[in-house]
Amino acid sequence: MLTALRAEDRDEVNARPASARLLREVFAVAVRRCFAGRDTRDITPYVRDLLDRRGIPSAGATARETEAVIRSVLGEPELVDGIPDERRLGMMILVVGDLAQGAAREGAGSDAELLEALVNQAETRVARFDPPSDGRPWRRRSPR
Amino acid sequence: MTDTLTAAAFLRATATNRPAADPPGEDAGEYFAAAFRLAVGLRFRPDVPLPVIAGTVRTAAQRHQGLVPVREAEMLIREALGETVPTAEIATADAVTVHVLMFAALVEELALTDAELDELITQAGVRP
Repeated sequence: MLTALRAEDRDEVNARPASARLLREVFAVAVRRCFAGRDTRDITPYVRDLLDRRGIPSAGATARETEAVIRSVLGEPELVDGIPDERRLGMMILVVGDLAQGAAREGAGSDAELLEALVNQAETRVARFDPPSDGRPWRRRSPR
Repeated sequence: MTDTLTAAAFLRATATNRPAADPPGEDAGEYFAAAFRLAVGLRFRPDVPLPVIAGTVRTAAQRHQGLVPVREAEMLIREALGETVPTAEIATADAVTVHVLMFAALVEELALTDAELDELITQAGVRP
């Protein structure tokens, strides 16, 4: 996952369902730590700036979809209806890398360290919220 | 003039949940856009929280069973309120759908009377 994020390579993520699940968590953690509690309108200029810096057209469908993908983890999941999974994952990788670089520029550590911290927290969240396959975590197993 | 009358009748019929006698003319798009902008200005203040706009769009999308493209609809509403938002690459058919169906949704939320609805359509340059 760290390699995929550093290289902004989505092939690795697309190849494994577990990687895609973890990437969604990494993305949720990164976005919430940056945008939760802020005015949702702040996301529009952020996306415009991000796409401009990457040389991607920032006035059309890609900008609308990127904003939708970000807002989807801030309580508006319906906004991503109709955006193919592969496209969403590509946008998530782009945004996670950019947010980590932005935080690093503000002195929060190196972007590599921040990405590692994000992945660690995402793994914790996956373990916390994915129930184990043998039953609910709060239910004791029956004695044999 | 005939196109104008047809466009007005189509918009009014949609807003009052009745079938339109005729399809709108080819030049109806600009009338629909003008009426939409007026309705947006009546319904929302420029600083309205985005969740309020999103709620209106979501309700319209549910009512029309997915016909309303939600991302495009929200951006067109925000643009009508004066924001700089990404509205390029919206297909003409999608824009017309948003203008007509969201006009109907906004009029419904404003609980306009028939006379007020006619006045709004007239203001948009469309004479019912």
